[in-house]
Amino acid sequence: MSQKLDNTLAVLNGAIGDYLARTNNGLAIAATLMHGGRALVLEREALAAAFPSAGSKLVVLVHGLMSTEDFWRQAEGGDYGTQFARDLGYTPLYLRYNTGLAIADNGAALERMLGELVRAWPVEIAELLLLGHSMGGLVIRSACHVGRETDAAWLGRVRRCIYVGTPHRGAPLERVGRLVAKVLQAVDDPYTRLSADLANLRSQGIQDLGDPRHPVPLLTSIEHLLIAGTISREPWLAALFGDAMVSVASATDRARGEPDHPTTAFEVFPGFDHVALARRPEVYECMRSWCERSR
Amino acid sequence: MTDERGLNKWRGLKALVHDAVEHGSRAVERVHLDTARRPFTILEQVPAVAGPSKIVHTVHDVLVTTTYTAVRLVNAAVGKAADVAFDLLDDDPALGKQANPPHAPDLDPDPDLD
Repeated sequence: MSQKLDNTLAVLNGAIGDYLARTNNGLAIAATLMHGGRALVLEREALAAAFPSAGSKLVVLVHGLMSTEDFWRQAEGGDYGTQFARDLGYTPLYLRYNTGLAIADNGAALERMLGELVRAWPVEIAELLLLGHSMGGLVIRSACHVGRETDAAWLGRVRRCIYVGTPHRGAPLERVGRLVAKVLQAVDDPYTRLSADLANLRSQGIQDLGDPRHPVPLLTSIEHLLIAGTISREPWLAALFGDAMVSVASATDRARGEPDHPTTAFEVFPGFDHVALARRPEVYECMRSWCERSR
Repeated sequence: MTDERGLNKWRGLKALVHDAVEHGSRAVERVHLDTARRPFTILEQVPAVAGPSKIVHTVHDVLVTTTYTAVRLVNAAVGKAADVAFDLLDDDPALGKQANPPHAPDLDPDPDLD
């Protein structure tokens, strides 16, 4: 029941979460860092009790639109966080947040929480690895940008960020949604106008996904790994549909012919759709070997 | 689970249903009136039936508006009643526990999710 309820609330928050937050509705999800299915209190005593043998390396996983941290879970159990813990000694933490809010607002919330986390973690944090799927990657970018603006201490601990299926240059589906809403609104008919009103109910978080360029650049002080998938191995289908939600150009934040960014690596997984990217051992292996290479 | 957190979610659900009925009824009312206006506008151009058409149009619009207003009034009354019930549960811990018997749907089974 709990998991079903969490997932239902996640979908509801993704669809109209900005409205829920604006009206102080009790169904709005508050941004929280989770571990083992429980919310963490970002105070030293509470964290020391929750992590008796706290390590100095943390990985923070940020899910995408209409999801919870459960989205990362693989069919055979475990997720990228537990795999990073097993192989590279990272302690996994999972952000749960209201995906209907503006990405910038969620980025600011994540920035605040990372600041509190670094201050309250029982031992000195040596490294903070940030891993985002889909919208989660944009939230990470936003948080890093706010961290740089405010000269945040936690940002000094971030050496690497990984973005999985993140629409750095917008998601085509949302752009289609915008176009459809505009067309419906232009038709002088009460029913089509009602449909346009319904389409425009979608949350600010969803609308942000349509932006063709993320308003803040990737920080050059951090190494970035951008992972994309394609639903088909056929080049023309791959170019047309990407991972079914995000095009390869958007997920790798580069158009054909653009020069490579010096601190950015990217990997494309043919045959992997948007959801598979968050759960496949091949993707994990790619991330793990990149982390080991870039040590 | 703390009852207060569970109640917050129930309150949230109530507010959401209330808002959906409120905004939904206004939107459907607008469509209803706009759709009816078209044939009435045409009829009101025909001299032979213009007078009666205007009367029927006005009666129609009053009936439609009254009906949707009644829906919103009932919605508001049910909302107020639910608020009073939630306040009672808030004030009475014993009642609060009864609100979530073991087999009832639990809107906040995890104490730490809020």
